[in-house]
Amino acid sequence: MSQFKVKKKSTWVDMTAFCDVGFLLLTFFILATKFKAPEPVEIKAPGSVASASVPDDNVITILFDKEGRVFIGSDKEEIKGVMLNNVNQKYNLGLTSEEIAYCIKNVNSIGVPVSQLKTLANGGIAEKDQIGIPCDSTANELTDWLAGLFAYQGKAAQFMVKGDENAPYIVFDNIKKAFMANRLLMINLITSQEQVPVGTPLYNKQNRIEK
Amino acid sequence: MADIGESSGGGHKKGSKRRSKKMVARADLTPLVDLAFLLITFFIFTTTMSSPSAMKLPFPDDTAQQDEQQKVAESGVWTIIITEDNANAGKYLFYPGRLASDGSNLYSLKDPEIQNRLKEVMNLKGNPTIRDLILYGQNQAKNVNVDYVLVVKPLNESHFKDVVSILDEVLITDVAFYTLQKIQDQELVLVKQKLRQ
Repeated sequence: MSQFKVKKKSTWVDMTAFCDVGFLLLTFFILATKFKAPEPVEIKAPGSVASASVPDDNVITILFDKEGRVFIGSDKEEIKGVMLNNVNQKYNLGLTSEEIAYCIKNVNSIGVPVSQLKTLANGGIAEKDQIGIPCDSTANELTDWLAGLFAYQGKAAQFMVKGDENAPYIVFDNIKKAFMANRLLMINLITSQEQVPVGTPLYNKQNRIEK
Repeated sequence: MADIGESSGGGHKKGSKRRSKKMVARADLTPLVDLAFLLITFFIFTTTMSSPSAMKLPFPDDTAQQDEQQKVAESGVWTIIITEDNANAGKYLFYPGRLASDGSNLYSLKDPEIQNRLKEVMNLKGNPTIRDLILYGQNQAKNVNVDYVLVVKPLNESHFKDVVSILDEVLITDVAFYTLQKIQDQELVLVKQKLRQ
């Protein structure tokens, strides 16, 4: 008799608890995910122990890849509009407001010489095919892109520079010159975080603060 | 409660003809769970948990008037030149104070006398690193009671990551005064000469 009873047990497993956990995790990851704005090029930021958090308001981002192409973008559409209008006026490009709106909507990071900006604004250049903003010693157009961006609506603009670890230093030096020409004297270098080595002055300093 | 086994429609009222009572409303959740975990996997892969950190980098104000500029003692100034990795001289060259016109005080971390001196003073077991050099300079400056000032001069073709790693060492060793400068032409000649040796 007892053997029969064992056989009668079904293999049905209650999935409810499993399902609960699954959806709990799912909710967490959905909420924790923040899709980053797509970048026109892949940039591997160098590592550093720096731990200042990245500001997230009024951010203007300068990117440069390992070939030395320089891009500028902003998380705020209005700031992008200001930049485009400035450059448009300065170089008399004659961009229409529709063209500027197209740029704001469809180009995350602008990286063309001003001479090609009209083509870009008409959709003639794919974002990833841009050749970079010229910013060497002969023509530093980045200076004009950064002009007048000290603050937006009374709040200081935050400048972030993200460079590829294998880019030559001269690119960064040119970007630095563009900032200094506009008297923008504080930037944030985006780095990937590393641990502070034990026993170094910084480590001691941080731990003293924690005590 | 855990709902394993057959439905318990029976139990009481044996022999009842209402078979419908034996029906148990139980849905198979397996596909739902499958889907949930598929989505979880997707979000795990797309989530960047650690947002990148930023390194604050101030630039000097080069429009400052002569009398507003800060004077520093030459004995506390050390200059590190970042080159590309070189078999003879390594990645970093440095000089204390002012560079001699013949480049005689341009050293590399691979020079035997430098290595021996750093090992002796800093009690090192292995070969000295650039961090040991900065710490050594800081101690030297402290001994003569001047501010330690670090000047970082990368070559045009130096990798950006090497520049950042030196700025990183500046943070790690807690250097208060440092500046990033472009290399001068006459220095470049001496650096090239040193790298050829």
